[in-house]
Amino acid sequence: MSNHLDAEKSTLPSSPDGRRLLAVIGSSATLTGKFEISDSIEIECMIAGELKVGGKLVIGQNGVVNADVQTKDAVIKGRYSGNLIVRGDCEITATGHVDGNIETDSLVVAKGGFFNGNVIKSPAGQETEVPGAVYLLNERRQTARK
Amino acid sequence: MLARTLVPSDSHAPSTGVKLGNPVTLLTVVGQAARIEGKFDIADSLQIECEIGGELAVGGQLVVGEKGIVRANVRTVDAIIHGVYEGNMVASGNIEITSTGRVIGNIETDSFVINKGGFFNGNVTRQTAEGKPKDSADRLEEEYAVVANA
Repeated sequence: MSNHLDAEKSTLPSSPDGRRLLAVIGSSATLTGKFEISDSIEIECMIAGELKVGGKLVIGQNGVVNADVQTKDAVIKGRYSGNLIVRGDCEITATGHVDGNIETDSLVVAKGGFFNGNVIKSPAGQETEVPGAVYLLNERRQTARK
Repeated sequence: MLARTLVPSDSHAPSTGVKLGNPVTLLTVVGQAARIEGKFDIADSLQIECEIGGELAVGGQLVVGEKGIVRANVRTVDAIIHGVYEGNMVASGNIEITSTGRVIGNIETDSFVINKGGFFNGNVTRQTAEGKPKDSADRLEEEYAVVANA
């Protein structure tokens, strides 16, 4: 199992100064709320709410996501339901199960992957608004000191 | 004790019912910044190096890293705070504020350590005060002894 996860971890792009900002380990976890993430996230648990991702969203095979998502890239190996806006590439793998609407210019559904919903082409000439609202922690701290 | 490890060390494990064994990574966030608000229900442990608000229920160890800023009400077994924490915390195990830790809020626990340099502003309440006998009483005396000697 751990080998499997190690292999999956490599799907996250290693951004030059990408730090591990949050790690949840254990047998189960349920998170509900609003997520604003400047880079990437990999999910192997249950998440609901709203996600804004500036990099890559990976829903692992054990991941269950029920949320409205705005992201750059998305790879779905688990279950997803909701409205998904992808500015870059969206991929549903053979184990992926998607129920909802996807707005993207680039969608790949692998053989075996499940998709039920609408695909909408991203509006031309209109950059979908993605994160930006995430403060850099240091900036935030400096602002707070003033 | 200060080692930033997610797997509870032996000194944390007893009497808490934390399941050791193969730790499975359930969620990973990488990058420069992240802000998360909401309700978290986590069976085992988590390490935070970003901003989190809301409500956390943790069945193992909560680690707030040096870059972590947590404004939340927390119910946990163990907690190690290297960063900033504001809120009310109930811990059935141990709470440690390290030399870089900064805590504002109320804490309910039987075992509480503040390292030299650590900041704490708030109230501490004992869990056993309401007549709930705990097997951690012996350990508690040890922990206070550690604080006194520091």
